[in-house]
Amino acid sequence: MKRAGQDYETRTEVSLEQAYEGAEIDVSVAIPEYDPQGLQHRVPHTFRVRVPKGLQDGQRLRLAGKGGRGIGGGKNGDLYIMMTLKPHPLYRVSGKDLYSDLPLAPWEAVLGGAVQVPTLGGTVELKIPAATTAARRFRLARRGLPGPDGEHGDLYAVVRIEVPKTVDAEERRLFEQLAAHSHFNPRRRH
Amino acid sequence: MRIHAEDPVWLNESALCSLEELAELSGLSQDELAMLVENGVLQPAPEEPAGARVFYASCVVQVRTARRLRDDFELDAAGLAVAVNLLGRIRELELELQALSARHP
Repeated sequence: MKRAGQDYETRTEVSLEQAYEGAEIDVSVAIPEYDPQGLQHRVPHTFRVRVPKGLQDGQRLRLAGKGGRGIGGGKNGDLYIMMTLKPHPLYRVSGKDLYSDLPLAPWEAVLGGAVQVPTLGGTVELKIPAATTAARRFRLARRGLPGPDGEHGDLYAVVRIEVPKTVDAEERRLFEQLAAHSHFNPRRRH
Repeated sequence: MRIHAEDPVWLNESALCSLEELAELSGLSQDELAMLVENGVLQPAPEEPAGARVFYASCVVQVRTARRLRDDFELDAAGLAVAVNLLGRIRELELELQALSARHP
């Protein structure tokens, strides 16, 4: 009896670096096959697939004829692979745009300065203006993910002000001096 | 283990397929697919001339989901349209949520 092979679906994770640059990845999948006695075995296969630049989360592809084998001369089934973006320790994905935290020391936020910001395309220098407040977003144009049209999204560096967990005696003295001198009250309503 | 180098078909807007191909890949009949087009679930590629039944390859994902829903829940054409539309809406909302959590973690 002629019967078409079954279609199978599998899922694989792609890193943001791979989606940014494009890459070749190996996808391993165990596909059920029948031996001459009619017993089912899962046979491992590895397929090398080119991931294009600008891969989107949830993107699927079809490998024609790579699913279950057809029986009695029936057509082989297809293999569908769903690619999802692996969560990244630094960047959060919003379409083509990326968001990352930019931790600043209190004095960097007050005084401003230049900081190094990691991007998928390499580290860039960002000028921080004086009096930068928490949650302020700096847009690094075209430092996000490439889209299917080749246009890059943006990278947003979101300021987070961090406070040292411990201070030495000299730092404490300087902070106390600042506290005594400053009229700034963050709880006063403007 | 042998590694097979593959040239896949990406199921996105970079490739087109016909109604016949959608029927073959999904297991839905052409009549059922026509019904999905009529109900607005399946939309022909916009750059094609009016009346031409050519679709983006991304529709393969939708029609395969529709076939699974039809088989698993024995849905008729109207039920199928509602279910596929709702799944599409859930996907849109998931993407929106993902975008919002990226901005406001």
